[in-house]
Order: sequence, then structure tokens, then C-alpha cells
Amino acid sequence: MSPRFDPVTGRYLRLDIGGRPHRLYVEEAGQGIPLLCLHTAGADGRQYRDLLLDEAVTARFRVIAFDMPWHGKSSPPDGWQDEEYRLSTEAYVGMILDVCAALELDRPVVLGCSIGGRIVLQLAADHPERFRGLIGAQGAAWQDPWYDTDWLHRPDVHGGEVCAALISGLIAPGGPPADRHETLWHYMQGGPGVFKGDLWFYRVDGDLRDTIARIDTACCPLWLMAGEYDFSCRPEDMIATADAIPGCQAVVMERLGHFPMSENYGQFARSLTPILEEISGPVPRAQDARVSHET
Amino acid sequence: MADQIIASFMRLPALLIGHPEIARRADRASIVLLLEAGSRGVRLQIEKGRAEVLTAEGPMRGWDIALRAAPEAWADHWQAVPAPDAFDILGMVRYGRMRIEGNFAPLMRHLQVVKDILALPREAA
Repeated sequence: MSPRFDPVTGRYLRLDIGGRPHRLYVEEAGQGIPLLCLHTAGADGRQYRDLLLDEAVTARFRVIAFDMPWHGKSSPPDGWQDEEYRLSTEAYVGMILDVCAALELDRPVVLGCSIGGRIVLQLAADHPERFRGLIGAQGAAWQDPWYDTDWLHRPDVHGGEVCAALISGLIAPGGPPADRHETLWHYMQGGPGVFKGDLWFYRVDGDLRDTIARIDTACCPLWLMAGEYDFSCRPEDMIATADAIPGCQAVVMERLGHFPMSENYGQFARSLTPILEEISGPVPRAQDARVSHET
Repeated sequence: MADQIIASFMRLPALLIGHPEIARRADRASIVLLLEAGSRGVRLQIEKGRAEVLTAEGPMRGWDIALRAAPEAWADHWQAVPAPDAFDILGMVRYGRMRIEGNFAPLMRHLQVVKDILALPREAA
């Protein structure tokens, strides 16, 4: 019996980010329009495992998910032991642009979730010409904090366990149990202080309520999405942002929480597929495809 | 409804015994919760994988952290499929349906297992 590999390629990419050498872990599958996927704070690219396996998407998109530096299988930069990791808005945007350049992506679509869902707003404001479409899941310009991030990194509380326990209630009930627990596992595996460092962007440096006034969706279409069970970026938080951006399309997703692509991909695909079809054009019906082939 | 909620609090130790997979994760836990439904409450001591209900009335009844909610909020938390504003204790705080006050350190050390124990009455919904 031959090995049963998933049709996903994982490789390490060498590039400079912010002028420092990095080794980034990148997974990809499919061909066509590049679809660059940004994971949530404190997690990694495994959150997109089911999207990478969705043949309806990979038939027309080159789906790419990378682990941010310090996350997953991507190394922290040389000298990390002497610094405190803190993700800034400027560094986050720079990282995304550096990855796009290193992979030679031509006007990719960016799909981000949570911090990734918020940073697409900054991309839309400052770099719309570089992207074919921007999709922010669990994305809003701002939402009020609901816990003190100091609990995420301290010697008397297990970091992995508390990170997972804090976000466990953001996963909607009723989804596949294996996907719920895999999503939690990713949080349990984060490096010390990394989730907290990501949230410096989310809680301190990344208030984008003024930034979104610069967004022109005629330059680059923008979608925002929110799961109804997400009490961190609530549907009303996302809608408040979408309403402030002319042309921005808002999608509220039932039976999903803060991690739609990881906690219940089948349910997420119901909302994501129409957006991807709008970007790439409708999927040819089987009969049309045959006629097209014959002619 | 408060009587029903208090009765559900009283059943928590037995429910935990029926879930050895949760009790295992509570093996290192050491925390006393004050659980309030409206104006009534009990203390729940979780220690070495077991839970015990203690009275909250009387002098010097200490606890680490209090979870205070209306009886209706607890009832909503225990629905088979709770609504978004009642699914998670921290979400209930976010939606203004619960107050959590006290020493957060033991709660954060044992957050998932405390959540899981407090959600046990959901299985009877």
C-alpha cells in the first residue's frame, strides 16, 4: 500500500523580514489565484488544514498558509532570547508584504482571521493595489478587551493551558469535536509569551478606527466575516466596521465562533465559497465545462 | 428558578464523579468557588479531582473567586446548545450576564477544568 499523503506541500522559506533573516514554514496546495492565509494570534498555519484540502478551492486558487515568525514551525529570529516579542501594526504589514514578495505572488487574495482579519484593514487602507481581494474573518477595526493579557505569560500559570482555556469558549458549540480540540491544541503549543505578543497588535498598537476612513473598496474589494459565537470580535463589532467602509461586504456566520476555518471548515465554506467565486468568477457547471472542452 | 439552580450546583460533585476524564484534569486543582444565582449561593470546593459543596452562609466562609449571575443566566448556560451570550462564562461576562470577582490566579491556573465542571448540568438538558 502506498503512503497516504495529503496533497499539501510544506517547505521552509528563507527571506528577510524587517531586515532580519528568517526561516518561515509555508504550506501550499492548488493552482491559480494566490490565496494567502493569515492565522490567528497565538496559533499557526495548521488552522487552514481543511481549506488546503478543499479541492473546490484548490482547483482555482493556490492556497498558501505560513506560520508567522515565532509560531508553529517558523523559527524566531536570531537573538530572540534577548528580546520580548511584540507584534506591531507596521511589522505585521511589513511581514505580509515581505512574504508576498519572497513568494513572487501577483496580486494575491489575503484571507486573515482575528489579528489577520484586522490587518487586512490596514492592507486595504495602504496597499490596495497590491491585492486582488481582502477577506477579514473575525475582523473589526477595534473591539474592547475582555481579559488581561498578563495572564498569558507568567510563571505561576501554565501558558499553553491558559491560552487554550481562554479561547475555548470562542469556539461555537456543535462543531466537530476533533476540530475543536485540534484548534485548542495549537494554542497549547504556542511559545511562551507569543500569544501575548501578538495581542499587543490587537490590544495596543492596532486600533484601526481612524485608518478605515482611508479604505476605498473600488481599488480592492473587501469582505468582513464574523461567527455568531465569537464574543471577542462579536458580529456587532464586525458590522460596525463594515458599516463605516463604503462597499465593504459583511457576512455573519451561524454556528461558528472565532476560528471558523479551523473549528468547522464545512460550515465556514458555506460563507467563504461565494466570496471566492465572486473573486475568481463562478465555477463552470459540469456540462459547460464539457462543451468548452469540446469546442 | 433559583431553587433549581441551587439544586444543580448541589449535583455538581456527583456529576464530576461520572466524568473521570474531567476529574483527572482536576487532579492538581485547588480552588473554592462562590457560585451565586441571584441572592443565593453555595461554595464549591474543587480539590484533588473531587468537588464538594459547602455552605456560603455564616462567618468566615472563605472563597477564592465568585461567579455571580441571575438564575436565568445559569439556566441559559446549561441549555443543550446555549445561545452565544450564555455558552462560556467569560463570554457571559462580556455580554453582561455574569460577574467574576476575587482572586483570579487559581481560576486561571485551572480555567478549563472549572469551565468544564460548571458546564456539567448541560448534559441533562
